[in-house]
Amino acid sequence: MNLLFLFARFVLIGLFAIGGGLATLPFLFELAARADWLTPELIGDMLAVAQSLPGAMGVNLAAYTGFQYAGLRGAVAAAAGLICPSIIIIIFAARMLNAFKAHPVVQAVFSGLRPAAAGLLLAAGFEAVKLSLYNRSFSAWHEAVRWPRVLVFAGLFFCIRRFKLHPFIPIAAAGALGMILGL
Amino acid sequence: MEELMDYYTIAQITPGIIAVNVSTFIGHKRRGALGGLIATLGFVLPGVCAVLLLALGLRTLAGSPLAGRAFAGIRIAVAALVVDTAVKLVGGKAYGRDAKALALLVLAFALSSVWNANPALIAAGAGLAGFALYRPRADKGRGGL
Repeated sequence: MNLLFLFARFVLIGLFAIGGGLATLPFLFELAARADWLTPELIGDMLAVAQSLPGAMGVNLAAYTGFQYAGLRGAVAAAAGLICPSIIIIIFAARMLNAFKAHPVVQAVFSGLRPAAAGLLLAAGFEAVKLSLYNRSFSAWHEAVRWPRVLVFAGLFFCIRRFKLHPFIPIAAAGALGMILGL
Repeated sequence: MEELMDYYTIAQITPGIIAVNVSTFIGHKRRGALGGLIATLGFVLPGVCAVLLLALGLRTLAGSPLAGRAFAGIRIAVAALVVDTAVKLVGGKAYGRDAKALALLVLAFALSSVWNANPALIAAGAGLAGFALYRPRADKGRGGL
């Protein structure tokens, strides 16, 4: 895989990831499965950084991923790839604003895409949970999950739902807890 | 304001990042295609630069055990954030009423989670399925084709 291939890959991701930066997650996990420079753990770490910084999270994540592969040029290639389809499609869509929105074929296709995207995101969430809470080497069934982490997860999840915090807050808090408690 | 809502709606259903799409729309409105490009770049560049700075900085920290512990914690927060978004996406929708949509959701989840299918294939299939399932029928009358 070289820069051009990286760019093309992210163009594809930009094309198929519907509805927000997190929608790129399933595609990144898939990339991790076939690339040795990318692991699910690394994706999680990069996601944390990407969510805490300004700008579009999906683009930040793409840039970071590209950086892992090929430094600065990789970051630019990946980010550019991701936003290319957006720019082109939107410029088209902007010209035919209402016709595009109301076109029954377009609506039909997206009626199929939207639930699939939600399903994919759920799967990505499941992956992320497995990654962070699961204990790789366990003997008894109750050791399959690391319970202190589950507690932290539950607490964070409750706070996120209840208080609608900026992503940076739970991330920083969890990072601090991780350092202090040695999760 | 209304225009902005329109942009947001289309941005949600078109491929790509919502914020990027909206930026392109706004830029296009002001200065055509070039405006769309510039606006998007303007929105995206600060974030990318920040990421690169942080990435370079973190690289030097990478090996330290303290960073390792911090990231173990961070991964939990990330999981919580992703699950929160996923739940919001699934919960608000009318999946209770639309059996076809619910079926597509479950199928996509299963294909990805259990069988590790390629998300691009799942998305393409879902688009086709959407067309097949939801397309305007001749007897119902067509809206502006």
